[in-house]
Amino acid sequence: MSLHAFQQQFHAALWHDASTALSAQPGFAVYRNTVMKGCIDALVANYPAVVSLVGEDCVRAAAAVHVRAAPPTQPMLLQYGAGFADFLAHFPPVAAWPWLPAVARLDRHWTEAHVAANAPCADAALLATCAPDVLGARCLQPHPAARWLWCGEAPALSLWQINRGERPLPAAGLSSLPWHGEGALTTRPFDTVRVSALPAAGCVLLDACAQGATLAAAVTAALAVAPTLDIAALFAQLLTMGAFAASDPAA
Amino acid sequence: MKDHSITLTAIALSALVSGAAMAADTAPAKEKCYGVSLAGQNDCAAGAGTSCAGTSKVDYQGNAWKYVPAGTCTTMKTPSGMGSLTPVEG
Repeated sequence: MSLHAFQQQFHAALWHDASTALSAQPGFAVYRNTVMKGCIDALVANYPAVVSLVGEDCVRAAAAVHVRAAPPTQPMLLQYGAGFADFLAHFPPVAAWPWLPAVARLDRHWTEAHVAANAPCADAALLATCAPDVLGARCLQPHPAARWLWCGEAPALSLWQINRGERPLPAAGLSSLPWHGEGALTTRPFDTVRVSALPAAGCVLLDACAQGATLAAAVTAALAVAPTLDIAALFAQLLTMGAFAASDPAA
Repeated sequence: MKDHSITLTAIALSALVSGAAMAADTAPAKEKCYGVSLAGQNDCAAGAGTSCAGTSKVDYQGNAWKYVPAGTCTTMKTPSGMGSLTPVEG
């Protein structure tokens, strides 16, 4: 048997077929269990706020189901679990916590921002020298490390920050949090992952920029969802947090 | 109606420029400074034995850098000498 054929069989015996000659060996379960445990450990490590909210036993049980459906596709387990938040959104045992997928997405955003490609951030001082109509005609692309989401149903950012130890737990518990929608912007200015609050209109603006809209069109879209939006403050926040990549002024 | 929307856009675009100016004022300018980081606290590094953030092995390692406020690097005094804007040999 060629090495490649053996590896194919080994992989099949690990993940799918329990009836091959390999998996019939009494010791083979050690390999299956080790691989499964490695994947579950990786999900637990990559979703710390979810673990803190619902407990490690719950996450391990959910992960065991998810790993079977979506095994890793790359050797680096740091990046494993891209679909875990979507999985949780349709996993009945955690349906009692409808905000859990949003918190899981923020965990994922942190990881993605952490490992994203390096790129210089847009230079605010340079942009400030533009005439308003020139700036409005520019298309700024979000920085490779920038991630954003709006959660309309729950204070997802507060829940995430408290469960990542970035904010103290309120004395009266999580249920005492003001229960309204929250958005979050995850960026990596100066090589440090930062997460800040972002209004819904900010998410709309970044969505438009990501799709290649001009700043004028992106601002118009943002004003459509929040007519009283403070554009200057929002744009200042986005630039300070490094949400935009530097671009060629001629582009 | 049309005039109204044109005015709105002009105000909005001016606000963009103000926002950029606000960010330029508040953004702390930083520079990469070599030789000033304590072991394990470098922001990133190059060279043998160190690959990236948090991996420097000794205090004030010459080829490990840390982000510091712009203009302060070369005035930083460490037991191994002054901070440097370029990697320090040895």
